[in-house]
Amino acid sequence: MISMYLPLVMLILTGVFYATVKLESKITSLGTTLTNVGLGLSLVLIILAAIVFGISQTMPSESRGKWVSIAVGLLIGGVVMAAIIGASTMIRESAYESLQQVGPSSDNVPVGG
Amino acid sequence: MGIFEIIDSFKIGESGSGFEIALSIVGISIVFAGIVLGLGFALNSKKMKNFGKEEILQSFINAALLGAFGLIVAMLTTVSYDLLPTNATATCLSGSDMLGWYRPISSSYSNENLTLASYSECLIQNVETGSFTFTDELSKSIDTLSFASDIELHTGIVDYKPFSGLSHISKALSSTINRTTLYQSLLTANALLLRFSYLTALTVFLPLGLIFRSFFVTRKVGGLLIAIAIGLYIIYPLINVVAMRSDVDELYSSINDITNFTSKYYENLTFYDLSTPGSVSSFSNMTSMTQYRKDLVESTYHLTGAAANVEGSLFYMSVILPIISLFITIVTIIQLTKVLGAEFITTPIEII
Repeated sequence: MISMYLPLVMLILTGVFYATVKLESKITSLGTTLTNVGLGLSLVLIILAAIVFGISQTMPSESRGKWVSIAVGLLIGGVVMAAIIGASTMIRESAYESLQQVGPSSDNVPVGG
Repeated sequence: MGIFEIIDSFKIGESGSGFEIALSIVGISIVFAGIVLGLGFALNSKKMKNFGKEEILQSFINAALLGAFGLIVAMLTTVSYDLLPTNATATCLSGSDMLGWYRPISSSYSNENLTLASYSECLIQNVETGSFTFTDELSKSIDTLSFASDIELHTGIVDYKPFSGLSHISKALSSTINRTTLYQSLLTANALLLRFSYLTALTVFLPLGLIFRSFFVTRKVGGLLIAIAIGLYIIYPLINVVAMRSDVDELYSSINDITNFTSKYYENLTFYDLSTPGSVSSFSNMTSMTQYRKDLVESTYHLTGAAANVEGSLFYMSVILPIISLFITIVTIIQLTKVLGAEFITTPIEII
């Protein structure tokens, strides 16, 4: 019974270990792609906000407020997105170092095995 | 880079690839959270906004945990050491390779390599040694009692078996030896589990937990792995040490009673050596025989009591205690996983 599934298990395990071989470079490229996508998206949102704001000016006064609020939402979204993506490295580094200073110096660094 | 190299890089401590991978994942999480938060504002979606805020907060915590990895390890090691009894020694351990990789280098501890798990394993090894002595001495006792119960005296008028009643006791003690073998197996299994605890908790479970916790998809698994690391390194051995420490002395006291019996009768039965002329002469009159019989029966009574004590202690240490310790450890792990943001293993436990 077990022998039936053994090749499948071996195949999955081989896949998992093969996948981890290039894990580091894959993660780095994923991060870069995501950053580029995010920055592009924020740019699109800001431009879209400008377009919607422009359109709102052509609208009658009773529906203009609705369009303006959509434009403001798009603008805030784009700016927040760009700000967080831009500051992601800084946020990560400051968080990484925040608790390091609490510790009793490098004496407590684990000993290499 | 293979998964083992990633784990190994945490042993080295700083700037290993494991840290870099985990930090990259945290960075990706922050970017992802930024995109979701921005879209939340743009689409005016409360759900997306909350998800984005939560993700940024979790990413911050994860990065802080990664930064404090060395501190966490040192803290767990120190807590593990501080919870030890003051007279704890590592005399049963040999070889620094048994003692794990993680410890505060600059500590002034006399037994700096000692942890709760290694000390607990040490106690179990002592109990195992005691149980081996117990079976050895009990076998001698059974041999003595069987021999004595088969002795026949031919006085010319009547044939007399003065110790025939002891045969039942020797049979009962034989079954004790069978059960003790089972207890020894269970003790070995528990000792291996404890060794697994202190060799893998901080070197495999904790680093993997931190890596998995870095990304929202695997956050629950990561929380579970960190909780398992704490449970294995602190809770399980702590219960073992607290519950077992005083009982080891009692166990050895009972084993000493059995040793006294064998040293008195197994080694010094004068009628054993039938090739020696006059060896049976001490029983030539019935008065000395009656006295000898009385002594032997009384000692056998003490022997059975001591054997029952030892068997009870071994049953407690090899069956009841591991079950209690495992139960408490599992409950603690469940609570810790909740704190660390994972709750999916509670459902089957709650059903039970």
